[in-house]
Amino acid sequence: MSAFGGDSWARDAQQRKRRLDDLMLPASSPSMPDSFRRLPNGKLACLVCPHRPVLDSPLMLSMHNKGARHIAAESRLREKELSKKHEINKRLALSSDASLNSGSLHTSIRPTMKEKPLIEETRRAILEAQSGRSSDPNGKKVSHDLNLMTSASSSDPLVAHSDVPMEKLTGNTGSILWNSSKGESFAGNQIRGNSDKLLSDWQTEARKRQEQELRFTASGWKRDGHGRWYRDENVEFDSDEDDPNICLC
Amino acid sequence: MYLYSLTLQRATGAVCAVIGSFSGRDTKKSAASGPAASTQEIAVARGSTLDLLRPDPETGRLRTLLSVDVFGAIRSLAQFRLTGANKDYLVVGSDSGRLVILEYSPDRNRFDKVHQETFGKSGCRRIVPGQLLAVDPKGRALCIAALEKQKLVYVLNRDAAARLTISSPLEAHKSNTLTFSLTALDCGFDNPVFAAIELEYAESDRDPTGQAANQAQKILTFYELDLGLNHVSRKASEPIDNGANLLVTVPGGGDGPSGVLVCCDNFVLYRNQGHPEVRAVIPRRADLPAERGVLIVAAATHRQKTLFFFLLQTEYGDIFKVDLEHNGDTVSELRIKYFDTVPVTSAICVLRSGFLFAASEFGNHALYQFRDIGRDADIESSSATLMETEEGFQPVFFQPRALKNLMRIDDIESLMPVMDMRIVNLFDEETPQLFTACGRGPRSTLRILRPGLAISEMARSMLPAEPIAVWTVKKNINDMFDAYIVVSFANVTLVLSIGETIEEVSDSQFLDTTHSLAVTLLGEDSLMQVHPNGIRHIREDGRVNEWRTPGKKTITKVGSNRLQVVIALSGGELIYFEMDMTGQLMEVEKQDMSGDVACLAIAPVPEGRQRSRFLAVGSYDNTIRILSLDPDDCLQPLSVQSVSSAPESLLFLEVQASVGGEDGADYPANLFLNAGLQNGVLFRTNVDMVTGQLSDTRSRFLGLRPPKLFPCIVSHRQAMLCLSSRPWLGYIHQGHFLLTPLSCDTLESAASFSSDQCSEGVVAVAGDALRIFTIERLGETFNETAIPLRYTPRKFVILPKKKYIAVIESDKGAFSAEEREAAKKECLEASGAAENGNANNGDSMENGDGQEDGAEDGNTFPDEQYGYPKAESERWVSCIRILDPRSRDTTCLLELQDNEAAVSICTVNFHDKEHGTLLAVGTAKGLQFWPKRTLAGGFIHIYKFVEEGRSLELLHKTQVEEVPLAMCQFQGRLLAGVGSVLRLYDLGKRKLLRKCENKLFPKTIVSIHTYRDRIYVGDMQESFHYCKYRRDENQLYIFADDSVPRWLTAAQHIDFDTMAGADKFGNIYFARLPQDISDEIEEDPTGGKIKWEQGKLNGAPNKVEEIVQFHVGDVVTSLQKASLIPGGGECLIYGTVMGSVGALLAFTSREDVDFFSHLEMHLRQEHPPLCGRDHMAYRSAYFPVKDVIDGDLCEQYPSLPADMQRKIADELDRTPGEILKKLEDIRNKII
Repeated sequence: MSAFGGDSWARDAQQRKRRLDDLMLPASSPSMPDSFRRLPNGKLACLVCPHRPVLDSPLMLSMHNKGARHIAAESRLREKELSKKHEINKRLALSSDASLNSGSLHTSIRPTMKEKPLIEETRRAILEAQSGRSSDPNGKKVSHDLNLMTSASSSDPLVAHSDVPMEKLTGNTGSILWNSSKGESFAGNQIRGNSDKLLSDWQTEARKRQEQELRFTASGWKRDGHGRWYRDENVEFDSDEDDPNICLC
Repeated sequence: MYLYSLTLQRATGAVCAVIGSFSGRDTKKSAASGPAASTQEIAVARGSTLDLLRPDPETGRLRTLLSVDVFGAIRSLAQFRLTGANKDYLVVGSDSGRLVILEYSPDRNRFDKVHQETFGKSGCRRIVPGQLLAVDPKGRALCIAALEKQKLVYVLNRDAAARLTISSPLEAHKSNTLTFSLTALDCGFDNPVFAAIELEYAESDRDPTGQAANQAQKILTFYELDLGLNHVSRKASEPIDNGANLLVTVPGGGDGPSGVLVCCDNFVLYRNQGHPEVRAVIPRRADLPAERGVLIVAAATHRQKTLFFFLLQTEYGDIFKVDLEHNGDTVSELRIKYFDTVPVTSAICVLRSGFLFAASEFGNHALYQFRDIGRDADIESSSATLMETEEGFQPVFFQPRALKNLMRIDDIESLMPVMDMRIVNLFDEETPQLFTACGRGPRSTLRILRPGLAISEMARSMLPAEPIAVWTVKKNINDMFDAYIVVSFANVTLVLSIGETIEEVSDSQFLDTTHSLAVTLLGEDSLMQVHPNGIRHIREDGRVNEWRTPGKKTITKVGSNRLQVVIALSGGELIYFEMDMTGQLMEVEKQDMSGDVACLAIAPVPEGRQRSRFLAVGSYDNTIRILSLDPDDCLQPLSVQSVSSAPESLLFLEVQASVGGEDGADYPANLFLNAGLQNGVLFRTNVDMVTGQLSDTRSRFLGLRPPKLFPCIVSHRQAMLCLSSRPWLGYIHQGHFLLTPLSCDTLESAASFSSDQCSEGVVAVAGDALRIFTIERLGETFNETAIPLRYTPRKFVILPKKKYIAVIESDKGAFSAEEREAAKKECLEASGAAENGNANNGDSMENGDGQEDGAEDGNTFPDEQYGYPKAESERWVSCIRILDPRSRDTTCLLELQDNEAAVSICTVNFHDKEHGTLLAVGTAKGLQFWPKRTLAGGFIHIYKFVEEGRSLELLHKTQVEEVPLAMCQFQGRLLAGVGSVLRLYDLGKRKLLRKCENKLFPKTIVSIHTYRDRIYVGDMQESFHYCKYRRDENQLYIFADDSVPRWLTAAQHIDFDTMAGADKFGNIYFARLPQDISDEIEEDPTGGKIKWEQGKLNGAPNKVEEIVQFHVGDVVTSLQKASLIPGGGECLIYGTVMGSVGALLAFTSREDVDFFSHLEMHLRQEHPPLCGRDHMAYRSAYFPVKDVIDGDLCEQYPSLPADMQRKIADELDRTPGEILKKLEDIRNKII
C-alpha cells in the first residue's frame, strides 16, 4: 500500500514525474512544430528566438517562453510564416501550370480534381458535380470505421473509453484504408481484399490480446519491468487460474 | 430540483396513548339504563401525528375520529378534567419547548389550542421539560419534567366564565438529578403532591474511583404544591430499590389509600409518605433464564366507584392484575395475579365500556374486550406470602396460557417498524405493490401494500350466464333493507329476493323475458322496470301498468330518480315522465335531440321538493347538456359542457350541507355532476343549484375502460362507484372528497346492498359471478396482506426471474426453531398430553379463533401473542427464506447455525462462470454490542438456486474479518463492504477470491450502489463516497465525497451524479456531484485519479453538494424510486421506523413551485402547528430545509375555516376552489 493509497507506487511515481516533465514543456503548437530542440547534452535550445539561446531545463525553457523577447520573436516569426504562405497561395493561383513543381505534392493528399487551384466557388461546383463518382471510397471508409467502433464498444464499455492505444489504432487503419482504396483505381481488386483482410485480422488479434491482458490485470496480475507477469500479493487467486506468462506467449 | 413531500400513510406505531372523555358527549342519549356515562376516546401520539380514536361498541371496532399532523415530536400525553366539568383536556409534552393544552371540539372535529406556555428551547434536550408529564387527579395542577434537572409546575384553574386558566410556572428544579418517572398522587382535595423516581449523580461525577457511582441510590421524591402559598417544596425523599423504573398512582381521597405503586426490576412496591413499604414479587415465566429480570413497561388503572385495580404489563407481554388490601390509608397486602398475555405494548388503556386498547410497541395494535376481570383463581404472588431466603426473595413461577379474561375483537394495522421496502409490480397489476418487511421478533411480517381500499367479500355465487347489469330495490322507501337483487342478462332478467338467504323468485311481477335497462323504487312503494320495449310500473297492490314505446322504436337509455323518469328512444327522442299525486306515471314532455343519446341522469329530488330541476344528457358529439325539468321550461337547455371524449355514464352526486359534525368539516350543500368518458377519464363538475351552470371542472384518468358510475352508500353518505379497468370509490371522508381505487378485479356493474347481515355493502357482477362485499377502513391509502415471518426481517431482495422474494431474518436472545420445538415437545411429554400436531414453527398465520378455542389445553399458543422463549442475550438466531409472494408459501427456509446472523443479501451474476444467478448473504458470527462491539467473524455465503429457484444450496462460504453490511454486483463480480473496506470479489472454486480493495473509507460501509462504471458507497457516519474502478490497474479509488457527516440509514441512486440518502436523525437529503466536476472526471483519461492521489486533508478531491434537504421527523429505513400510478412520473418513496410511508415528487414547472411555496408560507403564518413547534424550524431541525415543499402542511388548507381559506386564496390571486384543485392534482400525480 503506498502512501497515496494506491497499490502500484513505483509505477505511479514514475508516471507522475514523466507527466510533470511533459506538462512543464511548452505545448508544441501545430503552426510551429518545433519551437525548441533537445540538445545531445540534455539542454534545450529555443528555435524561435533568432539568437538561439540554450537553456538548462524544461522549467527554464518555460520561463524563457514567457519572456517578452521570446514572445516578440514568436509573433515576428509567425507573421513571416503567414506572409510566406499567402505568397505561395497567390503564386499557385496565378501560375497557369504550377503542377510541375507543387502539383505532385498536392495530388498525394487530394483527389485528382485539385490539379489546378481554382477560386473557391468553382472548386465547390466541380466537387458537387463529381460527388457521384468520388463519394464511393468515402462511404466505404465511413462504414468501416463505424464497424470498428461498434465492435469495440460491444466487447466491453470500459475498453472503449479508457484506452488510448485503441483510438490510435483506429486512426491508423483509417489512413491506411484510405490509401488502399485509393490504390484501387491503379491496382487490382485482389490486392485490396488481401490487405484488408490482413489488416482486420491483425486488428482483432491485437484487440483480443489487449482484452486478455486487461482481464489478467483486472484479476490481479501485474507486470514487472521486463514485461513478465507476476501475482499481486494482495490479491487471491484460484488454484487453477491461467498464467498469463504462458497464455499470452 | 424542487420536491413536494407528501405522507402517503401516516405513522402507524404508537408512542403513548391516554384515555379520556375529550368530546364530553354522552354515550347514548337513549340509553336510559344506568347513569349517563360520557363516551371515552383514546388520544394516541404517533410520533408527529395525534390521533383521536373511539371504539364503536356496536361493531367492536376502533374508529379514527381525527388524525392531525402536529409537525413536532410528541413525547408525552396526559388528560385532565376540572372538577365538576364533564369534558377532558389533553396536555401535550413535545419537543417544542412549550406546554400545550388542547381541547377537542366535536362539532368541528378538531383540536383547539387552549393554552400554549413557552418554557424552554425547542428540540428533545436533556434539561428542557417535555418528556415526563403528570397531572393532579383533581385537575388542579400539572407538572412537566425533563429527564434531568428541570421540573415545572403549573396551577390550573378556571375564571369567571368557566374557562381554563393556567398560572405562570413554579420551579422545582434540582441540578444533577435524573428523573426516571413522574406521577401525581391522588390525595383528594389536599395540596397536590407529585412523586418522582430520581437519581443524583453529582457525587458519582466527582468521584474518579467509581465508588460513588457503584453506591448511587435512587430516591423516591415527593413534591408538594402549596396552593395557599403558591409554592412547590420538596417534601420528602426516601431511598428506593435501584431497579425502580415506573410509578403508578394509587387512588386516594376516600376511594383508596393514596400513595404510589413503584414498579421495579422483579418487584412491585407500594409506597406512601409515612407508610411502610409493601413488597410483592412479580411472577416469572417458568422458561425465563435466571439472569433476566422482569420489568413493567406499561400500566393502566381501572376505577369503579370504590373498586380499583391495576393492570401492569411486563416486557415479555404478560399482564398482571394488581390489587391492594387496604383499610383506610393502611395497605396490608399487595397481590399480583396473572391476568393474560398480549403482545408488548407502549400503552394500555382500559375503557369504562369494558374494552382494553393495547397500543403495541411493534406490529398491529389490538382492541380487547373484557370477559372477566380475573376473579378466578390463578397464579398469584402476594406481599403476605413473600419469602425472603439467603439468596434473596423466593420467586413465583407461572406458565403463560391462552387468553381467559380478554378477547381480541379488533386489530389496527401497524407497519412499525418498516425494516426494508421494495416497490415492484410482481403480480402484473395496474399499479405496483409495496413489499415491506415489518415488525420485530415473532410478530414480524412481510406486508404487501396496494394503493386502494380493502374490500371484504361476504358472498360470491355463480350465475348461469354473464350478466350485464345489477340493481337492488327496496319494497318501500321506509324499509331498512333491500328486497330484491335484479340481475339482467343479455335477454333475460333474473330476480333474487333478499332474506335469510338469497334465492330466485318468480312472483315479483318483473318481466323476465327481456333484459332490463333500469330497475328502481318509484314513489313511496311502487317498483319500476325499464326494458327496451317499455316501462313496467308495478304498484304496491300488485297492479301492473305497462307503457309501450311508439312504433318500432326501442328505449336505449334511462335516467330516473324517486319521482321522475326520462327515457331516450333510438333516434334521439327524449320522453319525460313524472309521477303524479295518485302514483301514476304520466308523460309530461317530449323532445327530439339532434342525435343519439349516450347517457342520461336526473339529479336526486332535493329535500322537501316535488321534483329535481336538472337532467343531464350526454351525446356522442362530446357534449354534456343540462336540461331543465321545470314545468315552465321543460327540457330546455340550461348549460352545455364540451368534454374531451364522448361520455359513457353520468351521475349526479348530492353532497348534503354539513356544519361540522363528528366526521366532517363545514361545507355547503353541493351538487356534482360526474361523467365517465370513453377515454377512461372521470370528469367531475360542480352544478349551480339555481341556474344549472357548470363550473370548477376536474378530470382524472381512472383506467383503460370508460368508467361506469353507480351510486352507493358509504358510512351513511352518498358515494359513487366508478367501474373502469379497476373499481374506484368516490366518497367524503373527514370533509374531503376522496377518489380511491378498490383492491379487487374489474367489475361489470354494481349497486349498493343492504341487508340485516350487511348494512352497507355493494353487490356487483364480474364475469359470471355475483359478488357481495363491503368496503373497509375508509380513509386509508393502502390495504395490506401480511405474510408472517419467523424472526425480525433485516433485508430482502426480489429475485426477478422467478418473482420470488429472498428474506434474511435474525434475532438476538432467542432460541432457534428446532430448540423451541424440542423444548415444547419435552414440555408436552412432561405434561402427558398427546401431540396434537398443532406445532407452531413460526410459519403459521395469525392466531385465529380456532386456535384460541383449541388452546384450552393450555399448552399450545402462538408465538405472535406470547413472544419467543428468551435465551441468553448473546445468542443469535437467523434464517434465510425464499418466499413465493403469490401463494404466500415459503419454498425454502435455511436456519443459520453457530450463532451466525444474516446482515446483508444480494443477487449476483458472476461473469464467465457457469452457475447463473447466485445469492450472496453476508453474516456475522457472535456479534455483540455490549459492553463493546465485538464479533467472532464475518462470512459471505454464496448460494446456488436449485429446483427452479425455489430452493437454495450452499456453494461455499468465505470468511471475512468484519461484518459485511453491504453487497452489490459490479461488472460480473461482487462488491462487498466489509467493515470499512470496500472489496471486489470474484467467484473461486472453494471461496470468494479477493481481487481488489480500498481501505480508505472512514467508518463502516452500509450501502453500495453501482451505475455504469461508478460506485456509490454509503458510509455509516460519513455520507456518500463516489468511487471508480480502473480495470487496467485493478484499483478502486474515491473521486468525490460529502463534506457533511451523515449517519446513513438508507440510500437510493437517483441519477449518474445524484444519490438520495436518509440519516438516523430523520433527514432526507440529495447529494449531487456538480456537473462541471462530473464532466471533468469523465473526460479525464485517468478519471481523476491523479487528483485523488494528491488527496485533500484525507478526503476526496471533489465534494458533492447537498441539493435537497428535508427533516421527516422519523428515522427513514428505506428509500425507493417508483411510480405508484400507471404511466405516472417516478417519485421517491420512503418507509420509516414508525411505520409511515411517504413520497417526494419532483416538480416539473417553476410555476407550481412558486404557487406551493407561497401556499406553504401562508399556511405557516396562518395555521401554526398544533403542538407549538414552528413549522419551518421543525423541517429544518438538523439542516435548513432546502427546496422541499411540505405537502402535509399544504393539505391542511381544506381544514381551515372558510374565511381563512379565502384570505389565503386572495393573497395567491386564486379562488379556494383552484387551490383545492391544485392540491388534488398534485396528490393524483403521486398516488
